[in-house]
Amino acid sequence: MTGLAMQTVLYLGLELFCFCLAAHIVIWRVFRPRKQIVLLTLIFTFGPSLMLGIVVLASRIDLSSCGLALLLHLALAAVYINLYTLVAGFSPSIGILERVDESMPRGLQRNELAPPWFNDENLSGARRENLLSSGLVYESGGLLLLSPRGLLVSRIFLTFRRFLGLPDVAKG
Amino acid sequence: MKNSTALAAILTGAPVGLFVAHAVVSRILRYCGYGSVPPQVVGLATAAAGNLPVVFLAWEAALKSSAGNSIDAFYGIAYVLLTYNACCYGYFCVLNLSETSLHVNILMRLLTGGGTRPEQLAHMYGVEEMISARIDRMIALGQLQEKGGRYFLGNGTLVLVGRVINLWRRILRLPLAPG
Repeated sequence: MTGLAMQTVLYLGLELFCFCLAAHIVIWRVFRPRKQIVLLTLIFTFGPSLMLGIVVLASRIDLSSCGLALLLHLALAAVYINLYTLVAGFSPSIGILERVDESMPRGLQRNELAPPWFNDENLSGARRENLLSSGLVYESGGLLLLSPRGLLVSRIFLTFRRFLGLPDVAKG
Repeated sequence: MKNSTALAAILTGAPVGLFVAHAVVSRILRYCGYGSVPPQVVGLATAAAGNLPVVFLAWEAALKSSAGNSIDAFYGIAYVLLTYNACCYGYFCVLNLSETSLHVNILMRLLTGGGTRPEQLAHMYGVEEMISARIDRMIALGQLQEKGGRYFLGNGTLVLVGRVINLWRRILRLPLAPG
């Protein structure tokens, strides 16, 4: 691995990410997909395979450089997909702070903090619907219960939190 | 071991190292009486401190032998810093998800408390409960300040994040408000 290869690795990794990001923007502007995170993951997983194939065939970049470039791309893609959940959903914390920001320098009283879209439908209702449609929970006898998939996901988070010494359930 | 393999191993192993270091730092802080420090702050500080050992390891194991001049070294270190910090951000997102996401919170309550009626959930995550849970955290993180019963903006980082998110929503033609 030479210095020149590291320069190639860095630029190739960034190019792969920009290529997938551009594809994502074009697709989203044409139509808004229903399962956005699934399609986003597919774009950022299969997009680089296509581009790397062309790059390897058209140039003399070795496979180890491609592997390192792919690692950079995947790390950036993970960042973007995580950030995208903020773009697609609406953060209650940001909603409160935007409202406080608009009121500055006067500030707000506690009963004025909630933005107009703060209602049960947009808060717990929307989340409950998302969990039901993604198959993580199901309804039976008027109760919401964890599906096997939901059980797996919640156990992973529980293990993660216990390893860090955090309480099992955060305040949310 | 090839240089590229060593570099890949260091960078893919870094998030695991960060996870372990974060757990150790959290416990030390709790032992020293600083248990109230938000986990996000502890995680970010641990990740930032990890830059030095990761760059050192990458330099010793892979970059030193291949970098012919300072330009080569620059590209190598830039690659390591970018990849490591992107991995750290991914880790931070998982941590933040486990702390603040309502989806995860509902799943965790169902796991620890068993089945719940949708009405109970609506009560648990009602507007007032949501605001109460967030106010303490935002004050602890310096995002919000309370003086004489009124709430003021602390550091404006999250508001700036909100503006960038709205700009990105416009680029992707996504709605700017729910509903």
